[in-house]
Amino acid sequence: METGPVRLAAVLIAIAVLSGLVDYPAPRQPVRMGEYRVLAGDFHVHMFPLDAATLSPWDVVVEARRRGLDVIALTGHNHTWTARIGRWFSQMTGGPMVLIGEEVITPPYDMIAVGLTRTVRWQRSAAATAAEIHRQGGVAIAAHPLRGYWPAYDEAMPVIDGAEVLHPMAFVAPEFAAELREFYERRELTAVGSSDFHANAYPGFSRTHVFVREVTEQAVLDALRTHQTVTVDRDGTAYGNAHLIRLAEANGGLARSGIVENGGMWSSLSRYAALAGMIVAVLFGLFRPHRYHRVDGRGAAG
Amino acid sequence: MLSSLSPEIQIMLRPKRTLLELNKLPLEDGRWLLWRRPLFVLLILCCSFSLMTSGRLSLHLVASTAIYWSFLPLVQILGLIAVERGHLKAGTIDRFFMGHGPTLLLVTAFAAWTSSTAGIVLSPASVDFWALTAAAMLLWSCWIDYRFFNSFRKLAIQRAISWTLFSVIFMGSWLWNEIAWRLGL
Repeated sequence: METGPVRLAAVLIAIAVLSGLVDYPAPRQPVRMGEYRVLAGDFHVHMFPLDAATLSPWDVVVEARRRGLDVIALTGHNHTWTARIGRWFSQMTGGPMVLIGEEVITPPYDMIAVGLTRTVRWQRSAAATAAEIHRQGGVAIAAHPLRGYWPAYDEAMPVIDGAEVLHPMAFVAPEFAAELREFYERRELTAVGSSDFHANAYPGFSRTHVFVREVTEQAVLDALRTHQTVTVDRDGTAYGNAHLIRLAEANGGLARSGIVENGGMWSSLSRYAALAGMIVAVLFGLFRPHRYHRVDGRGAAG
Repeated sequence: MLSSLSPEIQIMLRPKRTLLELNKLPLEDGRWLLWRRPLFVLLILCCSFSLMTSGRLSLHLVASTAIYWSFLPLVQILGLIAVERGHLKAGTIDRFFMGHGPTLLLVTAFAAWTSSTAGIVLSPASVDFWALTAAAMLLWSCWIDYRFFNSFRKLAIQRAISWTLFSVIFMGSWLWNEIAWRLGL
């Protein structure tokens, strides 16, 4: 091994690991407003494998807890088996409430199903998919309903329960935010903020505040069905139940979506030290072939 | 100056020449060679995942993701086994993984961007940028591996196996959805 780069990379990585431990957030305290418990939720979270996501179900659960989420829906693309693993892990380790979900993906539309007992087939119209979700006692949410998806949702508008009015796409361009708002305002829908986590835009980056009287899965599903949610944009604009918005404002407000919360000085140090260590390791190498020292046209030196 | 850089970078910059130099040396052997560079690739990849997700280096995230993302170097080794028809040496694996310079730089750069406040959500323009960059890096790695194998046929076999397995495991749901929709299944 080349000792210089190895030592430097090791020191930088050690600094990164240690400083990353310092900013670990304190456990989230229960939030009560009036007669309600207010749960921070994210109902659109993907997992490895199959979903083009980086984290396994158990790692997603750990990250969701770290991000202060009380309830998440694990939503595989057209499957539910990874969600079941995440739910089992969370129940074993005392993590956030995990609802079995699915993102039903089709070329004309995508739909989030929350509170399923079995996988919903994707080879249907949006209306038929929503009906199947309801037959299972679940909640149907239009996933990132940008303009291109609207024709497929025309028939389903009377039957879907909610819409993602705050999705990371809303923070990327004002026209996308406007399209999501326009869809949400078509009729009274449950306001949902979701991260659609795959690799970045961490779980809870965009979140839904769910107002329940008891902390149970059924209470959460009922709240999603009956529009007992609020989601708050990064500029403070709140979407959702008007009464609950006023209640929240009178009780100190709710956390906003789209605001990057990656810790303070120590997390920044961790990030920079990690990147520096990785660059040193890649540029200068941790291993050299035996007796291979030079590429200078004169061949390897012993 | 070049000689102080890693074999990964030297192969990136001068693949034909560097591989010729390496081929003059006896092929090393030893069990450690089976794992050291695949583990190095895995380490960089999983550090990137930790940064992308949490904006910091988390030992838990790096260690945990390393377990299930070990499928990535494994599918590449499977491709190598198919090329070498079962007669794969540890030193060959070690030299093959020296060609991962473009991949390592790409994931490091992507982690740096997406762990920043500006890059945490990818705009359409940045998606296009990163897609083009990834395509360029993939082509570059194909060129490096073509020089490694000195055979288009061997490169095609290794890529067919490793890329197919990777795609199925990483994004099989979406892939199947697209294929089935277009075939009317």
